[in-house]
Amino acid sequence: MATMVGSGNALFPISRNGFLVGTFDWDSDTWFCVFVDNSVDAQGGPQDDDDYLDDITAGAIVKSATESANRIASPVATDGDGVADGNDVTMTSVNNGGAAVESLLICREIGGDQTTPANDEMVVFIEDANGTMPVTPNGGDIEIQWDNGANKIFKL
Amino acid sequence: MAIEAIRIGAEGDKVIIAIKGRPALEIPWQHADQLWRAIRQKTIHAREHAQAAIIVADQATLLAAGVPVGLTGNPVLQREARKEAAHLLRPGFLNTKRTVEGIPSAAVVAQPTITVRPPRQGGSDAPG
Repeated sequence: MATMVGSGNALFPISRNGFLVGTFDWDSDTWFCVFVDNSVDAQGGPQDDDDYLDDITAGAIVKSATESANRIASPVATDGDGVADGNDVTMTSVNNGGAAVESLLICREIGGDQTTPANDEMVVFIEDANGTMPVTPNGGDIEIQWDNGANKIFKL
Repeated sequence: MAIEAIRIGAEGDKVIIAIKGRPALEIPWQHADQLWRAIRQKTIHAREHAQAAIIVADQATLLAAGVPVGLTGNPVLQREARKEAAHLLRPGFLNTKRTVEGIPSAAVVAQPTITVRPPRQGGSDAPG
């Protein structure tokens, strides 16, 4: 086990496997974003052997109360490039009691909602965001604008 | 190894190997040619033996990456390299310590831009 904090943006090993063996389908699966308050998480933030979102301390997970606002709409894998893209995300009314969040995760939503973190795989870890992370939620919306360059959200 | 104590010379159509100044071997050039080839071949085998682990690791890395370059003709080392390559590619290997020593992933996670908007004010639409 090794912390992912401080190592830069990366895919979780479980997601590499998922895309490798075909259990993940970026085009058709449902993906959602959550922030993580590393200081609240029992492990100090995501670890490279984390697989499901319940590996993160529940109180450390910060997101919109409206589930649809956490989702990445229109996920698309660009043919031939291995690049994952999707609509920008606007989480609504995000609050963390004035504390900052240091990590952003993309997870796969299983079961039609985000109430069962034990079956939602952790896919992408982001801590570098063009100098805009960490962020301190203030109860307002948080916009996540994916890169418009070659790699979009991520590239396999 | 005191390799400098060995001198190799030629006299007529013969090759002479002298050790510590004394002729130790005097052979026709055809035999010397055969000897050179045999020494070369055995040198390769000895080097493979001495560096087997490195050769297997490098060959496995190439195999796993799909690079069709052979580093050794030794079937034993090739077999070991294939097993090692399979290990590198097996699902879940990234969960192990071998991640650090394995093939770096070419995956790239881009950097998004995060913007925190101010909270919405209740009734703020009302004209001030």
